[in-house]
Amino acid sequence: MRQETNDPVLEVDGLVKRYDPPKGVLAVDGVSFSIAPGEVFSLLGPNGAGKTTTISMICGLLSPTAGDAVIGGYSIRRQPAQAKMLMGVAPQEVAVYGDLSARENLSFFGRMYGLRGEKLTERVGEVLQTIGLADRARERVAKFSSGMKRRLNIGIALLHQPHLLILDEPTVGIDPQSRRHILDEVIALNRAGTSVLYTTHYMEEAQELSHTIAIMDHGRIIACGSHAELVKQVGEVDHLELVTSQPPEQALEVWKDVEGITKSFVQDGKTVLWARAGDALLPRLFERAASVGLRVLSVQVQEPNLESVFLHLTGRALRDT
Amino acid sequence: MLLWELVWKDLRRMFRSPFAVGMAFIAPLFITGLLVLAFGGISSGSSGMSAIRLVVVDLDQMIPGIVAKAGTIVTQVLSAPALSSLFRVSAVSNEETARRMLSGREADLALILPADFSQAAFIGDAQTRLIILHDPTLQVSPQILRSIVNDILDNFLGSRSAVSGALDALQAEGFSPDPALADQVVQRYLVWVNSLTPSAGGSGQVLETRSPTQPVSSKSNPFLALAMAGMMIYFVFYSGAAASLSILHEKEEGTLARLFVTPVAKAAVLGGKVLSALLLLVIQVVVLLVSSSLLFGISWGFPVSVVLASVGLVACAAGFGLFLMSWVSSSRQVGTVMGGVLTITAMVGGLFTVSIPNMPKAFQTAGLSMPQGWALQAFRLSLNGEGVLPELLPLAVLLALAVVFFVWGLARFRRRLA
Repeated sequence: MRQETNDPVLEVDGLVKRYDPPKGVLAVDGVSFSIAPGEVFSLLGPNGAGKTTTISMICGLLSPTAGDAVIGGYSIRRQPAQAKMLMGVAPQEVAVYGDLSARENLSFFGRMYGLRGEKLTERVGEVLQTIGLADRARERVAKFSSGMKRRLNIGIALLHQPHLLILDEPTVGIDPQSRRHILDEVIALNRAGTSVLYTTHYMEEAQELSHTIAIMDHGRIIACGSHAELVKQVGEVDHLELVTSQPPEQALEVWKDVEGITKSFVQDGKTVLWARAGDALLPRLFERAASVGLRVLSVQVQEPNLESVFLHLTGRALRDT
Repeated sequence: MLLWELVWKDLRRMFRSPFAVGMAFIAPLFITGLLVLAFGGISSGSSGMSAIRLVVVDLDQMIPGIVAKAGTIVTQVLSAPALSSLFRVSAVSNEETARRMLSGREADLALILPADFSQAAFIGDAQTRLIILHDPTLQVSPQILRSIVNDILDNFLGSRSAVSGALDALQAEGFSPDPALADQVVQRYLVWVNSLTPSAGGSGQVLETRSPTQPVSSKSNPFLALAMAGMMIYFVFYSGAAASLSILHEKEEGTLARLFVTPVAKAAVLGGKVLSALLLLVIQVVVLLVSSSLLFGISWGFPVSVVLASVGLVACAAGFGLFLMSWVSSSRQVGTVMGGVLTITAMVGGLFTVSIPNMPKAFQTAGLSMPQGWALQAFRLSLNGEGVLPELLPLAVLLALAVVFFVWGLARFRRRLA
């Protein structure tokens, strides 16, 4: 099913979703991006940013208010059956039949994608191996752990060897071991040539997996590029988190006018300072603290990351939204 | 092919649910079985009762010139297949043997037909006495035998009266019939009576009683058959709703959305749901009809009538289920809707009161305001052996309702799932 071309696997052009138009909620507001063959593209954003709505429109579950998504040259609005044939979708919530076995689930969905006979048997066997459920294939899914169900959820999306694998928050609510297994699976699939559209609100996952990351907030893409490109937007700024004996607001007053600090605020009970060459700034911060009797209990210096980018662009922390 | 995959998946899921299987197949048979245990024997006079062991001592003597013997007729009527569930008849030659059998609990009842029984029954110029001997612990059985024998004697008496009345009337009109002619009339009457007994090739149903709800062709218990019909219709409607409920469940489980992201059209997915519901109900009805015939001896009527009633029931129940579930927004409401709406409509439709005799006509008419009432009407006609033609009206109503329910229900689901 996979074709070797350099054309984008997915082109999203000005997708808009407004519920109950004209005055309803604007969930997605003119989202555009494209995914090249073999690329892992992540949509990163807080809950409610519009990631799932965007994906729902791309895979044909929701009709866009405006815009279109073209998969392998087929418009999801005009040629939905052909477009869907090129996609494999693993929804956010595990969507499998608990009263069927893993093999029966895979066989059923395989048939929905037109697989039959030996080809179906062969693909079901391969996918069971890939997701590590070959020895549990005959068990009813209801007896599986949530991590195993998640793996099966992804396995179903892989059956017909799609051009584009869409994974909507596949690691939500599972144990670290299963999470690691899924991330490794995605990396392996990508190495095998599968293009992936991945949504997550975990910046570490986006950073580890993606060639390209689009940061979404309030239904819009506010930044898009590689991890390095995004971080560059924040500048060469270190991120200092200080815990003090006095309340952080008091410490903020002490440090906010120290030379070299570009931004200061309180977050999670800590005083957060952004500064160029943060290491060099530390002695001055300690000196100022000592002069007013402020005791520093801990210091953490971080280089800029996606969290900083989001904070830089929205003024809010990704994990707080 | 694709539709079959969708249907097969739903059927497989349904048959793996012990609750669904219980509600579809076991509950209707179980409840009807309970009704049989509670009321069946009394209502039918046969079901649940073991046959009475009856010993007949036929001492009756043949009257010269008369072709039949009253004692033989009584014995043959009591031995007729129609009464085989009531009596297991054996004949002995004398009263002592009969008494010995009663004492030894080899028999429950003994009927002694005296030597002058034919003389008294046919000629009417002698008084005689039939004796019933019985185990003193038995109360009902002797009464049943007494009642049946009285029926036979009444037949003899009534016919004799009719013949002598006719002769008297002829004489009153001044026509004096030849005594040989009168004798010929009596002889012919006795030949006719004799011909009704099974040994003469007759039906042996001289004493058969028929209730208005009992089919001409059926020997099954009408109470039981109607109770089973009511239960079957109730649970088929339940299964129709449960089958459509799977749309709601799949929506909540996310598998419906997952199906919608495959290349399969939404219409095909919904079509598969409708087909699986129809197929499930067909299986349910066939299983219930066959198993109730085997378990309870119910004869459902002429095959074509049964098929027509079943087609109407399946179509209407599947449509009604789809329509009903299209109004349910979440599975939390399902208990109320399925328990409430289906039970109330079933009650109004008369499913729970169908076997109560002499229900007011208005109640039956009110039942036709519900689809279940029409389904019941279809099976009632089939059970009554009314033939195909009367079956067409309830069938037409059920199919029309099915179309309305399907169209409305599918439109609502399509809108909800858009």
